[in-house]
Amino acid sequence: MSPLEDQSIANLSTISQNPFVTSFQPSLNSSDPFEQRVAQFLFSGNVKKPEALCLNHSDEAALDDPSTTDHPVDPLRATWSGEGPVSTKRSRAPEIGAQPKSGVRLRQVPPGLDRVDHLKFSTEKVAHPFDMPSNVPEDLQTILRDNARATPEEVNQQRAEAMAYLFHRASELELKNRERLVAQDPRIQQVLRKS
Amino acid sequence: MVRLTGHKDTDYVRLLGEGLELVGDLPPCGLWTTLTPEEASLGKISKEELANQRGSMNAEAKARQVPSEEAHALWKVTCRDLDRGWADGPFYEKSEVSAFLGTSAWHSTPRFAVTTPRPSFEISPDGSKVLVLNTKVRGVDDGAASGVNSAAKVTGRMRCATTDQNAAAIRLLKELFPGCELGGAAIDQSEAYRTIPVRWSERRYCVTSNFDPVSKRKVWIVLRGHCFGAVASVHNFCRLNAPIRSIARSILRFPAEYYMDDHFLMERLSTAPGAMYCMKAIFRLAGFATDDKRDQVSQAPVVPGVQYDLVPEVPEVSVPELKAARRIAQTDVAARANTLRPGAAGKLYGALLFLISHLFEHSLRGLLQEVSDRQHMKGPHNKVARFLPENKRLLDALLGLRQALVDLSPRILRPRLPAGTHVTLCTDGMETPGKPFGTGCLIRVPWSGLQQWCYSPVPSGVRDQWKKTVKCRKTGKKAPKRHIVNIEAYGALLGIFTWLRSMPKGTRVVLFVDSSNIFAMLCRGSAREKDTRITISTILEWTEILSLHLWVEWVEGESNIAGTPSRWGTESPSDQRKIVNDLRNLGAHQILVAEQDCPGMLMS
Repeated sequence: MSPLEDQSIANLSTISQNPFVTSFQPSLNSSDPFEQRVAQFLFSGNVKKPEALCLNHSDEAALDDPSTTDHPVDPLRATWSGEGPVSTKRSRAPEIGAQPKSGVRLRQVPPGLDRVDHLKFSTEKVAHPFDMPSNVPEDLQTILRDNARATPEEVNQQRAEAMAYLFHRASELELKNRERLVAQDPRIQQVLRKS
Repeated sequence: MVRLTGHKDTDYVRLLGEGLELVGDLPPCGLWTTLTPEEASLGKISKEELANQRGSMNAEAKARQVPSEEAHALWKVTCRDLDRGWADGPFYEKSEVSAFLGTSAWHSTPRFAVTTPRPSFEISPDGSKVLVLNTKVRGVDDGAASGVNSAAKVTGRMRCATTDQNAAAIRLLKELFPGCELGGAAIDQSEAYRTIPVRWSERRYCVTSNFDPVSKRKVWIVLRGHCFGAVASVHNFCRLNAPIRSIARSILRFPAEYYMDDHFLMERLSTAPGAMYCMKAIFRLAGFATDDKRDQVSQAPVVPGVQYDLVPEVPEVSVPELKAARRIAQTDVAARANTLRPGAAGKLYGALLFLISHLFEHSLRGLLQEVSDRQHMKGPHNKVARFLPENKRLLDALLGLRQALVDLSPRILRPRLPAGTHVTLCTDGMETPGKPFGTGCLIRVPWSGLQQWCYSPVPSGVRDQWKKTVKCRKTGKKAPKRHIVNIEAYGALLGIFTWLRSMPKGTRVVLFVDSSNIFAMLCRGSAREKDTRITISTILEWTEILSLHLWVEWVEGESNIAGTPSRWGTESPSDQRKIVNDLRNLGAHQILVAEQDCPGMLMS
């Protein structure tokens, strides 16, 4: 296992400190037109309109506002969660103003109240689901919030470095990959080679 | 790399090298909610049972290897599979197939054509836009007919991105990036299912039976990858998308999502192009090709049939004109020909499902269910392409969906408002024998301090439209019908009609009803009985017209404050005074509903 694989996923966010990355000249000099296009978009051509930092100081506070965020999410765990909550019951539907199917009875008022208390509770303590905090999957939210804290240039740079790492690993593993492919059933290879 | 991202389904990479299974228990991969064994086995058969049915299934498949109108188009599709190396063959004798597979115990899957209208706009000489209808033929392998689908037990409930989720993410984006230009990027994987190899021992379930119109002979091919029409294809293919998305999210940190073979993301416009090429690079590194022609970087990306316009301050979700025209053409083709094959129904269902969840909300779910039922229809009816007399509901559903597509307007994603900015509306209906049907409502508007209640009997014009009798299911005899469901529905309409017509667009309304039936009908957007359906449709139409965000909650009858005003009209004058005083103590004042302001006018 390479030293890189020993690193936790969290360290990938600081990948620019990695010797592989700093020495990487992605594909600006590559003969591969695809890699050139990647490089072009990652490093130069993509930022058409220079933007200031997207968030000013007050906006930064908004990021931690409970109305826009559920709670500060541990990026590591959020990323590892992979899929986020399974939405078989349209858990995100209320947020866009749609009522889930009738089998899902989302009750906000506790049962057993008398009529007066029910009215009081439903007007004072109930929020319309359309205005509730976002129920977008946790890992997706984390990425969006992280990106909101960075400038577009920083985001692109971070991605370029990560891509550099991926390309580097791919070239490192190319031989091993080929060996594994050759070791497969030839009838499976037919498909893998095609794709 | 997949392991490094913390993705749960690391076994998939190994399985790709060995080929995946098509029948039997498709192993749980840890990505999705696991189904109980009972759920997973519902309507499924074992491998042994499938083997026992092989003779009859193959005979049936053979009977379908005959010349047909689509034979040439279908053969062209099949030849393309052979030319591109996605299949072995052609085999003109069964023995050749057996020799190739090393077994005679193979299952033949009939291939049929699904013709999809492909309308496009062309510019005529006078400069006007003309809709031109072309068609595209896809070859779909009938996994239901070969029994392969019945023997494929999916053990998890799969999940892809939904319109709900995309729209919710856009609202969040607007909050996180105020004033920024937003954009989306999307890519499409080439030859999606074909690129996932099938295990050699399972290739005997990949034999596709065709008819060669050139040599006029029966012909078979053996697919190397997965086919359209097999349950396992969707499952095995989505398992590929998940780790690719994990790499995109964990390492490259962009908000990647997928819906089958469409991968997409939405974020700042300035970072979207780079993210798209990163996404393509991941596919390339993983050894899969993408279709460059279908790359998108746009401020109004179209992701499976739905357009997300990110330019305005309040984003919109809509169906692109061409896509809507395509869906309309699809329903037209079926309705005019009085034909909707199960495969075509599946295609139509899939196409509409993604957009219907958001754009049509409640109102058309019932209609879409008819299309789904047609797709999964079993027994002899499944073989009949034409609508049967008892399938008139399907025809009605198609016409209803068509009309909805014609009338479709963009859905606006308004920003979140602080808590306490919604209107609370409680409604109730009361049926007392020998007395007028009473309805009552109470509204509370926190920002204006408005708190009122009203009572109205159901007008005779409306009552006359309701069925008088109902047939008893057990005895078959007719009996007087109870109208409490209709009255409750009318009560909800009364509340909306009395107060909400003057509310600003986009008002959030929480509606409390104490009838389970009405709650379910409002969620479903439909009712079985026609008389109730009219009221439910009227409520939802007005909700649309007034751009209300209606949220319905069920409440017990004894907790529903509207239960008090609903009996006002049937009480003695002294009790009426007591009701007025009780509600006044709560701060609610009575208003009288004039005849001309009554929703009955609307309905009659």
